[in-house]
Amino acid sequence: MLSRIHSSAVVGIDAYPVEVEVDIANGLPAFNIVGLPDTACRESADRVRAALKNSGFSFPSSKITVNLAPASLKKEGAAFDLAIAVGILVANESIDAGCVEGRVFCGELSLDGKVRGIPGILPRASALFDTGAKGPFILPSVNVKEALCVEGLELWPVWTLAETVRFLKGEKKPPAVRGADRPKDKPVPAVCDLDYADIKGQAHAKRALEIAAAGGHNVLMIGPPGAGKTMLAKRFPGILTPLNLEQAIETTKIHSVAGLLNGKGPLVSLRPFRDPHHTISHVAMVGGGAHPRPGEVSLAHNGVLFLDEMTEFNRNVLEVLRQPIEEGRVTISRAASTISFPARFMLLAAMNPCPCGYYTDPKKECQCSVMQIKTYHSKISGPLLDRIDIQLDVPRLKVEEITSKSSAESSEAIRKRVDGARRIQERRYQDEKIRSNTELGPALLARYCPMSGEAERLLKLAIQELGFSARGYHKTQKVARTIADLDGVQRIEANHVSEAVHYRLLDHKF
Amino acid sequence: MTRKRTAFVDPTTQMGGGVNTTTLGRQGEELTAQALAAGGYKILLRNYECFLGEIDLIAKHRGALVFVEVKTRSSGAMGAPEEAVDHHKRGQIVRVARYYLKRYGILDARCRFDVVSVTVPETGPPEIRIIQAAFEA
Repeated sequence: MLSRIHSSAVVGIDAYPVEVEVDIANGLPAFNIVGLPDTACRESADRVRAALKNSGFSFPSSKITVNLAPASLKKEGAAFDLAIAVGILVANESIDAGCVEGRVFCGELSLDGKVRGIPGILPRASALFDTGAKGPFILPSVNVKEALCVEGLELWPVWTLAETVRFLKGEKKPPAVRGADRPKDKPVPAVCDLDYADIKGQAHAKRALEIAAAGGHNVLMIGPPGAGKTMLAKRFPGILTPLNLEQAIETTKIHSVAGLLNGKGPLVSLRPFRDPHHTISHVAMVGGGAHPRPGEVSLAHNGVLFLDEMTEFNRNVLEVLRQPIEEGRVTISRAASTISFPARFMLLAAMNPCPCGYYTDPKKECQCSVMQIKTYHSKISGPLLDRIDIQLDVPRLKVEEITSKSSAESSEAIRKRVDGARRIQERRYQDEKIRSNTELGPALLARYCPMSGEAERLLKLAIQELGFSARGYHKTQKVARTIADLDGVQRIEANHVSEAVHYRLLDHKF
Repeated sequence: MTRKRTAFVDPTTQMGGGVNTTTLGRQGEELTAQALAAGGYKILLRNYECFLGEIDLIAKHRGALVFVEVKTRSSGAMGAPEEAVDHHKRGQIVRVARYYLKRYGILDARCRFDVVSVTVPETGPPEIRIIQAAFEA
């Protein structure tokens, strides 16, 4: 007999419906799975066999053929186990075919019949909802939180195969959770356990990071070892505006596919902060694999990608960042498929001024030759440096700053100002395609960055005296725009420009 | 088939040896036929042979056609008898079974592969274990 069960597969961060067809026929006993399954998927046969037996069902000794339709789409992972097991029971006439009509099954089975969690529940649930289906969506209990933010979708979280069958037969009332925990228009509360109040001194660096957070500018911090670059970076998510609902869902989808949610949820509430080690490969950075998976740039989507010791990264790893920084997404092409992942992140990088680390330090003498320093800086290519708006000197702390008892401004207070500047930008760019100052192109700069006469004179002077390039000129304008937004003024004044010029460190110091 | 086959003698236990394995095999098949008949199997054929190989017993059980492989040992010293039905042997049985089904035009019959493990010690009663649906095509 033939049975049809609905399930779904994830490609990239989108889910597609998959129909699991099970045919039980006479002939030499065999269990075949067709429809481009990968190894984990093909091994489903052995898991399903043991799970059925250990859940008290008989496993038919017949010729069983499972087809995962559409046959052209590559299927990976163990998410079809539950659908295949239920399909066998229906084809075996242990369950009435009417019981599975309109229901969608996803889950991995363990040999004892337990339903294990799988990655990618949120994309599956939301794709299901988009097709107009009301469910029920039968999913592993451990993943149920992820699906809760899909409003109105009926969910049946299950622990075991036997329990699933009892629900289907109507012997036991299913829990029927409804996706309703969706936080309406309320911003999701962001909680960062690290606070800028912990950092003494470095007021100048904190100010620059505040500007970066407000305008979405990429930042490069340069300073001697121990100056607090890493500490400053780790606290950065705490001053970013909270994710809005749309962004939270997007980010959660990526984390769901990557299997990073671990039952947390329903939504990723804090902007992600990814700090990959400098030995990372370029594939791990942008994503990839035979069946492409999101890389660090995508995991940092709507958040921060922090590259500590930026000069230690492999050159090709840094160069692959150029496209995602520019476009806000990465497109990965492999033999199996071409997939595009969102990757709109803020780049936060830290490095020493020279190989020994003390070039800018007033107290300790630098041991490096001019050549060494040149080589060190050449590791970061011009095109990449061009995409970093704020270059920041993080000096070593002074004695009185280290020993001072007074506590610094809290992240909360800084975030309030950042929120204000972000709101101004949202209003200003509501008719444009961009969202923040850092995305301003030359044409838009002219329209949105009106300058006072004095500001204009100062900027001209900076170009002449400091040898700014055309690009440097544009960037200074963008940063000045953000500083003016933080002040809440429409026109860019001289003091805004002078501060912005200050953040072009590498253009004149090295 | 005239070559006399004898089992390997285990040097530590001094078990095995001396017994002609062909005779032992025949003895096992005989014991199996009796046990299967007692278990509700209807024996259709014994030692079905074709150019692809041989199937020890073909029987009917609960409406299914059962291809039975009998493996007999005089002791467990060299491992359980059923362990000898390896990937290679299973492949051969499946090929013969497929040939048989095709030969009689019954490819859509309900089928099963059973393995019967027989241990015939020199002293004491023989031990017979029937493993139903032991493997698949």
